[in-house]
Amino acid sequence: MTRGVSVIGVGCTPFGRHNGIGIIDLAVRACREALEDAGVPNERVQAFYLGNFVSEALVHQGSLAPMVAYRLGLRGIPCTKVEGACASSGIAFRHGVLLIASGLCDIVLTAGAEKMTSSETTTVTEALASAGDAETEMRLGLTFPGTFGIIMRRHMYQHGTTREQVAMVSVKNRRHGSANPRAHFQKPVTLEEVLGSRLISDPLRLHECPPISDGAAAAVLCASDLAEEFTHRPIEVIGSGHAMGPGTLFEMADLTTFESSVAAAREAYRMAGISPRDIDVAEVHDCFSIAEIAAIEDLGFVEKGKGGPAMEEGATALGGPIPVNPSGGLLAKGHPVGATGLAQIYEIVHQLRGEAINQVKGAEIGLAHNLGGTGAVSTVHILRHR
Amino acid sequence: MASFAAFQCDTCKCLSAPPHHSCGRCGAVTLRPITLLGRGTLLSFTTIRIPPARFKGQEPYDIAVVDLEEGLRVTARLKVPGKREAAIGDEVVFEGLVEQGPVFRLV
Repeated sequence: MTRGVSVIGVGCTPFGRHNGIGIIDLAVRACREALEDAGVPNERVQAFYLGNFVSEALVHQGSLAPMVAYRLGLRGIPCTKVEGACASSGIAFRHGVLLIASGLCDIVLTAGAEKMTSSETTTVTEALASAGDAETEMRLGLTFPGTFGIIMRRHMYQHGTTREQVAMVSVKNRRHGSANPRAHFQKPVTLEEVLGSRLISDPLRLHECPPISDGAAAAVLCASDLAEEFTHRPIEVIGSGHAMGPGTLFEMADLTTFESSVAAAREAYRMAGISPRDIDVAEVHDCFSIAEIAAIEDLGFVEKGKGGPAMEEGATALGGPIPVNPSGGLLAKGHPVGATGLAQIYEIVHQLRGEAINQVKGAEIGLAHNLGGTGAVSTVHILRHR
Repeated sequence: MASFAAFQCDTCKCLSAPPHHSCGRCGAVTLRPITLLGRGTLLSFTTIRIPPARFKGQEPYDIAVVDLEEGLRVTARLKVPGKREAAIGDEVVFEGLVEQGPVFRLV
């Protein structure tokens, strides 16, 4: 990047059911926490990006970005809502980075928010399904659990991934999440409980899906050369990748690979000048158990097809060589879709500051991977402790 | 079995199923209707048990990704007759179009 960009403050609401708290207020809470964490007064914020996916469908709220900014007390700055399905706030973060790297701004606030628990499950399922292709696949009655059920069956067939290996992702992430006070699910599950839970979309079962949650997360970005004014522990963004994929199952060349994740990771690693081996800790998009296995392969932590055995060997658990989703991931934390990408950044920043709840010892380089739609979009960010 | 209506790009020869303005691979606007046999194999499939709101009452229903003999891949509703169980690689045939889209049946 032509000009270094650092994260100088982060905030995140607990994920779960926030009765009586609307989406604007959720976003304001996360933003206020991030601005206080950064020690940045309102008047220093020069732009605001907000990731959100389904607020129009679920809570009938558009024009979200300026409304959140106004309630925060910001005035006169450009505010932009970013929509990229479940990768909305990964993209919001990316655009904040670009705005500073370009030299146009010094300090940018980025956030993500979603309000989902006030709607029925089938209404939420339908709203989320709008991230797929309405004219070819979603008209059939396909859902996202269905999409990942199809991917999971194919992964097991093509790579010999076992049913237990996939279920172990849920066991691991629920174990990690049991220590996280911001997680929606703080109770671990056993392998037997996962395999005995009801089928949602064969072979995918209930405990392999994230809960429906409300939540918001935020990060304050600052030009690295100015970061010391606010904090003695800036976390530098050393790599940013953002890429597209087909967005339908039938247009995927390989049902077990998301092209968008592969391409975004390639761009982020190249920019950072590092390889997957250099990553100390990662938050990846485990929107379903099988998605984490595909992600660790697409990100290059393991070879394609080796994600299942890596899971079984504990390679991605706390204490393993590449701890994945120490926060509990989407499976434990919850998946308020528009907030997920920045909640991943929140965790990685805490890890690199050395103050995470499930701290990975000595973590210096962390990665956040956010996926939207049927792999239609992916962002990968690599952060480093300075 | 019914024949399957698709399109072939005159320039790059690739096949596509839904009607488009131009070829999704090379961008050429010369798409020609083509009739495929409607025979294929199962690449993967699932059973939807929690449907989106507007499909409520239809569950459980099966959705599959099918590789047609001619090289076109499509996502479709899958019909599994009687007490049979589908498996990846099984042969399927195109049965027709319904309101939701194409339907294939296990042979």
